Amino acid sequence: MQKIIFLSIAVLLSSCAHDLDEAGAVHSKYNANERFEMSQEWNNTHPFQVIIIPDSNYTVIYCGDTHIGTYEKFSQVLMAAKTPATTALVVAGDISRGHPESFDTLETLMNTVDSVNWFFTPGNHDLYFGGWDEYFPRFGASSYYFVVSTPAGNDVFINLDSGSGTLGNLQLDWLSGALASLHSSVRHISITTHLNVFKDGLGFTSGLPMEEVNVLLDLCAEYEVDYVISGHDHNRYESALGTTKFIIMDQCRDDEENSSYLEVHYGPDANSHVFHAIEDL
Amino acid sequence: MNSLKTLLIVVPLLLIATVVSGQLQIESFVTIGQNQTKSEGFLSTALRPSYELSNWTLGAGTELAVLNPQNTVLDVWNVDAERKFILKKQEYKLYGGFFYRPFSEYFRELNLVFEIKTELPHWKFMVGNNSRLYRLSAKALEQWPEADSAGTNIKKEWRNLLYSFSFYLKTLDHPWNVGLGISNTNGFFFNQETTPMLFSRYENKITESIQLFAECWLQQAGFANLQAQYYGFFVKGGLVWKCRK
Repeated sequence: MQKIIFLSIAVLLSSCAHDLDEAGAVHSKYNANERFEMSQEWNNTHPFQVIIIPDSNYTVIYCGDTHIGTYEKFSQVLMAAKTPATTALVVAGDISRGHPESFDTLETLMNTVDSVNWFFTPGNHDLYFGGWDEYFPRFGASSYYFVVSTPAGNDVFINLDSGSGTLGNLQLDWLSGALASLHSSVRHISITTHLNVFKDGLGFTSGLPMEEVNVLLDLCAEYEVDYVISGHDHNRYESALGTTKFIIMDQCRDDEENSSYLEVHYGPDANSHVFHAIEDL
Repeated sequence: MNSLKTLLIVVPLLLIATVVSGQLQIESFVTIGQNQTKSEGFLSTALRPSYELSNWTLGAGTELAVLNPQNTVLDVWNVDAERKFILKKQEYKLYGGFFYRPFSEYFRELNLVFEIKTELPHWKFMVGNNSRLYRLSAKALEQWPEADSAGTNIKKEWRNLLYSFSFYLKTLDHPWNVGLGISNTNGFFFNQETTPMLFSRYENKITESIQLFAECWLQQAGFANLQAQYYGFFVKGGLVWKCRK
């Protein structure tokens, strides 16, 4: 019995070895505050993007956990994002596998989609193997917002970095300040981050620490945030509390089943969302 | 009406008799710490009286956030019950508790906790489940009356695994002891199962009825993500006073 367990663990570890950075279980090369400070420096020289559109109804596509490597499913998401009805694409972390070659592939791919307004925020896999050193020079800030400006008003989209398991005190303070200054002048507020706020049953993927969840919930209620969208768990889970919908998206990995992406329709009064299944390869 | 009068007389008498025949225990402690939501630090104080009656222990508790409360000074309160039983010569304790945390003016966090505990000469073990419920406060319901009909007034997470495993240098009946452990709860606070905390504990029975203790807790964020960082720590110190034997 012991031999079977040992062999199973050995096989499991060897099969995952290319994807897992075990040393990261105890230490991140850059912690959340350090990445936030680097992001703020980036934001100082790269002002938040404002997308001006002529229609008050529009669509934003969200996906997560593409784990590039290969990108056949992500290509389908990019195709959907290229349609004129789509205003932006937001990818909620674990976009790559952390290796330099994953980032090379991703950067090359994104250079082919000039017509798409795409926005990334990193997940834990993007930080593996010192991945932040690859991510940051290529894609810039991990904590930022962009605005979609419509005739009926502006909507704000806030992307948060939870790649090392916490938002960190600096990012939380920034979020609180951003919400306080923006909420009275915008119609809708959507937050995207990699880690989950709620969870569906027992799980092996960790969410944000409970103290941070409580702070985030309080902010969502105070500023009537519309959506908090995340990935990480790889399995869809929708819930709502107060005025906020909390959505965990399916993954978009080529080597997993039941992939999908999320389409959110923003309008003058209400929002709605729908998942689009991606065919298994 | 008569039966009500009888109840009004009998129940308090039963309670008094219960208290007199049972053992009163008071646990009091102070917690000082720092984490990513309270980077400037926090300080709280807690009181947990309980009565032990043969195999049952009934208790209640409250924690007051003296420094940097998130919402109110009354951080959390609880009521609980514990039942001892023997199974194959090993003593176990079944614990059930209800915790109420008004952490936001918009939300209340309710935790329904069930645990089973046992001890070996050098070890303490606990596994359990925490059902976490978030519900809107009265103020929030007033602000968003449609939440009731939309079903967004409450969020339930029924299954959250709880655990605590600790090893002690001396046998657990020794007057003083030092232990190391891992847990996702510290009694008033319940993490998800994937967010363990490491702790060390020193305890010293200074008299037959008074035990002093001190604990250090380290919180790590994102441990199960394999991309983790320091999240916070806290230090807890206090006493357990067994008032009557």
